[in-house]
Amino acid sequence: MTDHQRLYRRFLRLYPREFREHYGDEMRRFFAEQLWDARSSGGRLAIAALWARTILDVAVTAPREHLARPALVREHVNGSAATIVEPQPPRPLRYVILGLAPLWVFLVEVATASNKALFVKPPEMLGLPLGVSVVAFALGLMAVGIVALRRTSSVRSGVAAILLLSAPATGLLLVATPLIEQMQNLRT
Amino acid sequence: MAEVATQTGGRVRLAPGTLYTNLKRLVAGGLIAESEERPDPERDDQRRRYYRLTPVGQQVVADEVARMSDLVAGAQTWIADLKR
Repeated sequence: MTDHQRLYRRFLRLYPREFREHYGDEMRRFFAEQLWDARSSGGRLAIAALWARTILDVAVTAPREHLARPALVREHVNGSAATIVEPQPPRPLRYVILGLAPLWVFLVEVATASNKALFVKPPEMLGLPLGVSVVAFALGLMAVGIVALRRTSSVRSGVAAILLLSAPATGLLLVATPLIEQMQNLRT
Repeated sequence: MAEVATQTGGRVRLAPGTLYTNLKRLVAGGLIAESEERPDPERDDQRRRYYRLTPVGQQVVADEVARMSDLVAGAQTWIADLKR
């Protein structure tokens, strides 16, 4: 294996693992053939051109593959033309509503004025009331969960995004107020 | 790949990422499928996968060729009208 092939092998790590496992060997062989052609036809200049094409190729196709939906559907239009279209991933409203649970909890607490303790110092963190930092962290987790929900194309990964991100954020908001109130009581 | 280069007079040179991401899309779309048919043993490479057009893929190709033919015919009529 040449240095060029080793380097291309490293570039292949930029593709999603599943894609790499399925097509990686063939892509490496394909690159090796192109390298052989470049060497036999134009020497260094041809190899430089091959690398320029290859780097551009990886830069375009690797991110696209990470963002690609796993399934595609065909659409036949009036029997005269056909196109391949990306399907919309299953994002039923209930998943989004569930994913936004931390926001609902926070809004209910604000509406009922039950989380006032969150906005009072002490305790504080980075100059802000600790509760504000906790709320920001929880809503940040929720935002990541919503982005993950938007990207996902399967029910299983949607549920995983809710369980791993939105659910802990909701729990954090629910326990934050009593915990901070206790901390404030201990100080006084 | 050699055939693509030959057909396009060397203008199109597919890179591995472009080729295999598109093969994946076409397989997922049901337009091509991995083929169990292998070429002659002397020409076969066991490590390679071979693909064939599915019936739907053939229909799509035919439809697309017909659509493009219509476009070309329309453009030729338009150019002919301009020359008159």
